[in-house]
Amino acid sequence: MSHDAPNNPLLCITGLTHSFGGLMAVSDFNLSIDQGDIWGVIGPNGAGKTTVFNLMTGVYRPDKGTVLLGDEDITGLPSHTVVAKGISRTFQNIRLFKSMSVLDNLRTGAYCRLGYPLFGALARTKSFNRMERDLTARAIALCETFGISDRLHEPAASLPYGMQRKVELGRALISGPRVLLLDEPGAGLNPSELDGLTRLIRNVQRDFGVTIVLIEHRMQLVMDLCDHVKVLNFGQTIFSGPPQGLSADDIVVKAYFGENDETSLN
Amino acid sequence: MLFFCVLAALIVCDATGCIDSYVTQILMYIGINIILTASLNLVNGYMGEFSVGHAAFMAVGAYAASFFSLSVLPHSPVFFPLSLVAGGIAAGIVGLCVAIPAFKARDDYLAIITLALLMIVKSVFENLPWFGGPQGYAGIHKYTNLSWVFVFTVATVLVIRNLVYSNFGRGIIAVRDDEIAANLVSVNTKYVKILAFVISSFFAGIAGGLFAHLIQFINPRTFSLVKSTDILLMLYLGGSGSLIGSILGASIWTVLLELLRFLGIWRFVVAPVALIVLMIYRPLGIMGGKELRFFRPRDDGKAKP
Repeated sequence: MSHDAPNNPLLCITGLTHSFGGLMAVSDFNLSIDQGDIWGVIGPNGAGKTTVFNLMTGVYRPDKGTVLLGDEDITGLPSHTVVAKGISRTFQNIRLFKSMSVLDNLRTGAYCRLGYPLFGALARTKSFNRMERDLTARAIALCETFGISDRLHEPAASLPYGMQRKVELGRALISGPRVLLLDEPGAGLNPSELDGLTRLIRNVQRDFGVTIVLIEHRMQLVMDLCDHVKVLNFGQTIFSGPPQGLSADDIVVKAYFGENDETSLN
Repeated sequence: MLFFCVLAALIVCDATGCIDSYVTQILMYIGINIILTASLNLVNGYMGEFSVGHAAFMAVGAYAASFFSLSVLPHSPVFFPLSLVAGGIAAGIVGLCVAIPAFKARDDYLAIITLALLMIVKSVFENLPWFGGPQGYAGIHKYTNLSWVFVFTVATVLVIRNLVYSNFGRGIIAVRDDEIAANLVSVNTKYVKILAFVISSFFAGIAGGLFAHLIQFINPRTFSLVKSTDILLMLYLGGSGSLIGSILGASIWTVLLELLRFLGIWRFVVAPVALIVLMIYRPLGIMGGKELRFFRPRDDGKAKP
């Protein structure tokens, strides 16, 4: 893929707005990402971060606003189509297919990439066998990159937490996405695992050529990885810029630590 | 290879009648029950939904196949497979009509919808003038024999196995484990759910056709909730989510009911009690979701050598 000019972003979200009943979950969210960037979306609990992901991946239809991937309008498409277009994601609390093996979890992630018809599967045609073998080889190669290839045939639920995160990442990558959405990849990891994750995400971004948007509470990860950060609070964007600017920004500090109320200190 | 040897042996048996007719009867019941259980397994086992309407699809298949063999096709055993497939297709179409609205609901609601279907189908056949109404549909030829039962049983198990160990099957199992996540990793969940349901009803229809041409007389009461319950019992006895489980469950249950025949009406007490005991000590059924190597495609999970 050629390098897009800065004025032709890979993913462009404008005026995204969504409310649940009377609650404005996300209001006028804008995001414009260039190929290869890593963006962070942070904010206190309930700020609407995951809702943004859900709006991008077709879980909810936005009330207003558009999502453009390249030149294509993907606003409100059903989830499985969004993945086929090139946006994959992981989940805040890992959502693997628990009874399926690690290998099958990964292969399921490429559902939209297997073109054989139903008859091909039932009659085990040549093209079926070739596509399945290629897919399996790719899944195994991914597992080897992530160091989980010795657990290939075990049920996903039996793996330790950190490995499950890797399986989920592999499942998101196997469809060959252009944009990868990571919902709190660092949740529940200890500091040394967090370092490993930082390296892993960097490698993924380099080796798979994906553009990454991640939601994260662990500031260390955000500071280390992200080129740009968006801060949400009660659905509103209150900051947008490089992560170094965060601590200097009054509104962000207030949203996270509260008002510096001097009377209560006395 | 094995398939053709067994088939040849069965054709000889059918022609000469060298197996006792009672045993033949039981063997055919086992085959039909395997088709019913394996096809229900697709929806209730692999997809993790709870359908209780399997007897309804069996009824549609039985009536449609009988109608075809009596009134549409020439009266000859040669056309028997055609009427069976016609029965299967009729059941599949009904399955499609149910699946599209039914899968807007989940869990308990699907059970209620399929229960309603069961009642609708029963009263439709009771009130339609063409099929003998509540008196039943009589005069069906006895075309079902060991060979046909064997062929269709093997075909059913093979199709379901090939489906389960493919992209579609992974989609179906993903729906069971986490439907929302499945949709978000590109599985077209609506499509795989309808697909599983239609294939399942198609084979229930085939089984219905075989059944009708075996007992030669069907009436709407044959396909009641009791019949559905029987199929559910065989499925959970063998263990849902396993093909060998379906085969074992159907065989054991069919034979058990015959062995307990000396108990008279009491066998309908003893057999369910046996089932309850099994559920307590082996809640996942005999196979507990495990599969024999034989039923896994040989190269599944292996990369290019």
